[in-house]
Amino acid sequence: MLSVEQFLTLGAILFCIGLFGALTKRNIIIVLVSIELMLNAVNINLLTFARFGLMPSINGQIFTLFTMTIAAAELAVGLAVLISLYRNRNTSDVRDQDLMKW
Amino acid sequence: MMGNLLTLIVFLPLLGALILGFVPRSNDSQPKAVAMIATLLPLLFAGILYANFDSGQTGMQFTESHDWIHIAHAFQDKSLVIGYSLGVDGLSMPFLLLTAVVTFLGVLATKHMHRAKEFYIWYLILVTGLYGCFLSLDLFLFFLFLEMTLVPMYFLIGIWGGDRKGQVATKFLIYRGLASVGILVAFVALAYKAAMVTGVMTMDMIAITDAFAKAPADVITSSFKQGIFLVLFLAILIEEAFFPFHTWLPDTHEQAPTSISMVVGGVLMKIGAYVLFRIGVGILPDAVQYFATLIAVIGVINIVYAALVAMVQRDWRRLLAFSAISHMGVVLLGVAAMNQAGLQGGVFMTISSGLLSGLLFFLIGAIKERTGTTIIGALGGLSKPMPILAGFLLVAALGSLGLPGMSGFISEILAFMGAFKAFPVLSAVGTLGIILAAVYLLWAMQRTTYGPTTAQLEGLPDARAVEYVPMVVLVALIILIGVYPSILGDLVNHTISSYVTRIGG
Amino acid sequence: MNGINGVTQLAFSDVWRVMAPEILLVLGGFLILVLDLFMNKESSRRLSPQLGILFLIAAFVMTIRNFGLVSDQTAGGTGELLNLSNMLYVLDDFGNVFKLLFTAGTALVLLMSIDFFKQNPEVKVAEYTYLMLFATTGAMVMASSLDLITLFVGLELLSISSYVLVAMRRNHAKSAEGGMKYLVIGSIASAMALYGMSFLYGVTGQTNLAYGAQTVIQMWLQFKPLLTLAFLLMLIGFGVKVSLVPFHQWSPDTYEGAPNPVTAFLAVVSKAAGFALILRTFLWGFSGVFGDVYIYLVILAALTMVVGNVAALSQKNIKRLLAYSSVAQAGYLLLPLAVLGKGKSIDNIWLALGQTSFYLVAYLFMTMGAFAVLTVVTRQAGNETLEAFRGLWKRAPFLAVSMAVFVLSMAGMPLTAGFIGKFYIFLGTINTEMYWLGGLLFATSAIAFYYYFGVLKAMFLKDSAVQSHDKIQVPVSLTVTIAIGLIGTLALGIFPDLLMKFLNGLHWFGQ
Repeated sequence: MLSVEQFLTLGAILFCIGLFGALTKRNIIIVLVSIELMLNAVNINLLTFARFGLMPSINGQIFTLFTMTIAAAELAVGLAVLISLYRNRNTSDVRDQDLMKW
Repeated sequence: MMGNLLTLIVFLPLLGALILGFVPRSNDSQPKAVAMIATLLPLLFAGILYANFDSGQTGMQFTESHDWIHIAHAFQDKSLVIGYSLGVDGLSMPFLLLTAVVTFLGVLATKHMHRAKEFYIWYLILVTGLYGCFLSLDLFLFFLFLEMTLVPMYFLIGIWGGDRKGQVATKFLIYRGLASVGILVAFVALAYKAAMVTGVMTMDMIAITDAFAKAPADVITSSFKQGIFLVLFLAILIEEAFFPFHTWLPDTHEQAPTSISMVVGGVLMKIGAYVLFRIGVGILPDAVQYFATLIAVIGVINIVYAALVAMVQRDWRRLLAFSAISHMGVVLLGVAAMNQAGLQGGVFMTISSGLLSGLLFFLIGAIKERTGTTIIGALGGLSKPMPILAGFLLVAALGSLGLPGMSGFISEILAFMGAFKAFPVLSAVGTLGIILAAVYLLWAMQRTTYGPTTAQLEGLPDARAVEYVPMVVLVALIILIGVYPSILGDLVNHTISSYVTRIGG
Repeated sequence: MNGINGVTQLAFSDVWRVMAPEILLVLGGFLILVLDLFMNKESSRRLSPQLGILFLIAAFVMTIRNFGLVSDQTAGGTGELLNLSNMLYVLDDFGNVFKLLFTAGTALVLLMSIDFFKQNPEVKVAEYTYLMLFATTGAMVMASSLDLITLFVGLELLSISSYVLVAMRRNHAKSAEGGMKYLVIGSIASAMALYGMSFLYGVTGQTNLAYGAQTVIQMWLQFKPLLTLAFLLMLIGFGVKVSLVPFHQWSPDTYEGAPNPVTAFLAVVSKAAGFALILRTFLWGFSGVFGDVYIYLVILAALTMVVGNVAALSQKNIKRLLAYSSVAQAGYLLLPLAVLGKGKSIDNIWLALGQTSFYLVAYLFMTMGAFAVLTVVTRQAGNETLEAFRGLWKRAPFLAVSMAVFVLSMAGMPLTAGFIGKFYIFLGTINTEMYWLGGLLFATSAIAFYYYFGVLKAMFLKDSAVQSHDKIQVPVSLTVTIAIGLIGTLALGIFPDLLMKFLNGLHWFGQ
């Protein structure tokens, strides 16, 4: 039987991998994927708490459904903006996004 | 009629500025006429007030008061009511008159310049701010007017200044902007503490003064008072351009046009002294007493340091700026003494320095207009082509170095008399400043007016008829205070003695 | 209206009572969407923004009606808020004030946009308009919801719409780049906030803030690190939205890349929504333990004020300058909440809410006005640097004077709304005896004089680089925006009681 701590640790590891990837990867697609990882870490957390938490309740599962849906919407918009960016600049590399800086 | 006179005085200049907004841009003489009326009327009203002023009374006179802003829940569940309230007492009356005289003469002294309409608009806004500072009875209102002087000054220096105008305008802004931070922190902290005593939150000066006077020591601790006074004092040091925060003043005087120099040296710079008297001595007398030695030391440092620096200045305007700083050092010394003579000397010195600065900067401006320079080395033998101007310059310089019979003398006598009682050694060092003043002023005078007249200065015109007005008026006032000091003394005596009794009790 | 834990029937009349403005905006959005399908391109372009403004005004009016509902409910004396589904969604004056701000702000943005559409024929007007309406709805949800799920949905509705709006100009590389940056940072922020929410949920077993708050107090001693982590993660997530330092890096780029009206939207409506969310979440969820966490808010506020103002000093691009200035303003806006934690000052909550609202209203007027002026001036000059403003007093006195008022208001000069707003916030810091924080508020403002007066210097002190003395043509829609901004800024500066009186009479959380 897996314990709450193990689930939460999995979530934390996933979250950190996602955060690391989102902040360091060069390709925007990978960055978007990393963000999805972070959101999935949240889902694992929510489901763990909904099932094994101090006060288990259905709310966590409902929250997960919302998170998933919204994550999909966010990703869709992200890809759309990425296409527009690619058309303008012919690159999807984070390092090339340097038209504006101080 | 009497009821709204103060409002009229404060807002007539602003009204003038508004009217100017609708005057066509091309015309040069119209703006000056409007500005003259908008500063002359307050001068007349100030005269009326002076005539009706009862100097035997301690409290505020001609007060006006209306509620203005209600801030709910400001103190526990009670509201803070900010009032629009104005009034004059013996302390602010001299400052009011000084402002009225100098700002009006400043308009007279203004020569033809480009963008004249805008110049007068900013000038009049500045004048409103100055009047407001001295007449406000509400700390919030005071602060508002103080900030109101910043913006016009920025433009007045920045547009019509000398070759380093942009930089100096910004410097002026940042220095005085930071100074007002300290003032605001101190004001609001005072208001909250006063509210803890009375249970009612207000920013009314009188109410706060009363609350502090009768506050039990456990509600308003002396360490709180000292902390607040230090914050306030730091701000005053910047406002008054005391060493080591003085660098904005010489720069400003060097870059600003003549009339602005007059107003800065004559009035604007004196706001800090007014705050020191009104808030420092008036509300926090025990804190002033606690820090008296520190204040006196800073005062003496300024007297001597500024005088020494003045000796090596090549530019008249910078020299006068340092001379003014040196004079204001005497004010600090007088305040530190915390006795009748010292405080009175402080007020005298502030007013006297205001009049003298106004006169001196006017004269130097007039000379600059003719010769194109204010560098002492480049001038020489001015007494031949322009004897009148040179003569007045000599009178002003003598007044400034403290010749008996003029305002500078009586101010220094009073201040030092007070100071010697409290700090004999420091005061003795301070008197060095008087000697130094004689040295640098006479040296500069001699270089400027005597000796051979250089070729390009030959045949320059002397004072015009319109220029006599500022010169004569200012000299007359300086001599009047010098030979008949009670004209000023009667005004301030009652207020000062009420402060002194509070220290004693 | 509803039992605490019973199954409740939702009637439309209940929903309408609580959510009328939101419903109106959603309907409006869909109406524009559908009309766009059936109308020809020209009339859709012309009609959509006007319809949008109309619906925003309707929502504004409904919000005003809601004030009456709230005071009736309070007078009724049951002590319960008007709410839906067990405090999932509430109607109180806190939400109402923010809704007024959002609808008014978006209406002004759409007004400014009319000119933007004329200049950029490639922009799809209907799409733009309904995205604005949906984004505003999202903001409203953020201000009125008491449930983490709904709050999150509102946040994302606002955010996702904003991402699209920023990247709207397809042939504009900066626009796409700004949009992408905003999207990436914004999504990371959302994930952070969600991760924090998941812990809050884990400890309380509730997604509802109203019920969860009690549990937070009970669990605080036992789960302090975990709850603090939740608080910090949420703070980071929300902090990105309102661009608190050090989470502000996206804002200058996004502000520069976005079209001017959208920048104004981000600066005002989106930021106000972020603050509504912050206040709602922390004041409800963490009010019982606020004394233990407020210090993080204080640090962030201080950092934001300092860094925002210092970074603005070196900016040459006027939009980036305003971006950093708006970062700094976020610091000022966080102060009222931040100082609430000290001692027993949570009692000052009504003061804090008044302060935030007043400053936001002032900020709305001055920012909208500034962006409207900026639009005209930069277009005429063809660039967005400070140089574009050179000699403006000669070319367009009205624009120059208006811009001067807006800039002075941002700098906090007297007789403008910005000054009263800052003073009001300042009172709170002194009241809690955090003198240094109050000093910092005005000291950073004094430093800010340097760059704000740089704008004034360019306008009044310098002569125009181009010797064109032809007057600048100001489109009617922008003139109206500028005039509203000007009147608002000056009126609140000289007669602050106009707004103060109104704010004083509110039942913020229904009390």
